[in-house]
Amino acid sequence: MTNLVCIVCPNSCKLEIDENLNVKGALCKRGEAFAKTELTAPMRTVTTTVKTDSAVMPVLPVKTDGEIPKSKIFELMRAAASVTAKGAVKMGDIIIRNAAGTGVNLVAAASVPKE
Amino acid sequence: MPTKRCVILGSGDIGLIMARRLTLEGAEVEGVYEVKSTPSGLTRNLHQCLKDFNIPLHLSTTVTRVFGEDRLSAVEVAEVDDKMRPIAGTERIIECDALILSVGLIPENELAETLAAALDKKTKGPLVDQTFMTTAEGIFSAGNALHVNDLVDYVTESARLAGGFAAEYRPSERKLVEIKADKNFLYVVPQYIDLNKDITKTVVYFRSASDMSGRFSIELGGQEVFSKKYRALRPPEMERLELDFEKLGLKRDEPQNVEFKLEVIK
Repeated sequence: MTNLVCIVCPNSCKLEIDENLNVKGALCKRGEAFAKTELTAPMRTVTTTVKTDSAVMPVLPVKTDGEIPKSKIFELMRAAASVTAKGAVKMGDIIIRNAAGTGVNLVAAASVPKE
Repeated sequence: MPTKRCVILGSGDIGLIMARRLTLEGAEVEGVYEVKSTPSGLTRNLHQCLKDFNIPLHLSTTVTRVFGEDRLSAVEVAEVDDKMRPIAGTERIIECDALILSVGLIPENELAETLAAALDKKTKGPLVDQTFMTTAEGIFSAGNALHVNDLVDYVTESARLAGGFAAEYRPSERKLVEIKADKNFLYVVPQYIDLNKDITKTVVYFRSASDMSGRFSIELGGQEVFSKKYRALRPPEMERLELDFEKLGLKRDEPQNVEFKLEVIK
């Protein structure tokens, strides 16, 4: 038996999961799905910043465009730390494709203006 | 990175999120210390920010001394008793180069006070009408100066709205009616409705006074005109409603009591 707090929405349902992955306490299906993934292959969305070559906006906020395995978070952070976004960037542009081999892209969460 | 190894004081959401951020960006967070016996942040942040990264949370423990000359070199922490007094003999020295203080915030309102804008004891910000105008004519308030918000989205929204209303503002006589909120509310913003202004798109923010399932309702002149059920209300989680008081039947010419009620559902 494992106890988890659902982090899908602010309801914060208290979940109880047995050995056969039966979930109790979830108010919705998303909570059930969360509990199952959390116990088998936990996933997270990651946000950070990357360097740019812009004088007006030296750092650019970025995020993964989907969830990545929790175990890949630090690999992704290292990849983000070693990249520089060049020139003008539009919000949503891919900064690292298939980041840390997760199949998920690291995308711009803001735009860098043309200089 | 301005720190390699740090200690965080305070387990509110900002402290928890800082613990995760500093860890992700390459610092070591030795621990989060909370003087109270319960964590102050949202459950999901305890989970995602501390548990995910194995950062210890020390409850009933606080920072009692700091050491260092040009730069912090260590802090002393100690456990506290139920009156939050440090317990002798429990002191521990932790080497670190930064101490992050996440110890709550209070609206900064020296300016509002010098402008004679009346403050709300509960929000510690100015009393405002639905256009975010304070009791000082032509002075508007928004964001964390108005009341401490839990989400930045609300800060942005109130700033946009207040800015729009300030731009539209023309001096005119005000006809303020107070929103009376019962004791199950921690607070309601705005505290007033100006009947001489638009009442069709009023954004209302509120917090419950305690954890509860609740039925929110509005009474105009003793008549219930609106209700909504909430499964889980918690003081740290602000609720937002958009109300059309004209549709609800608020009259502009005759004075009516405006009462907000919050009933606990068992």
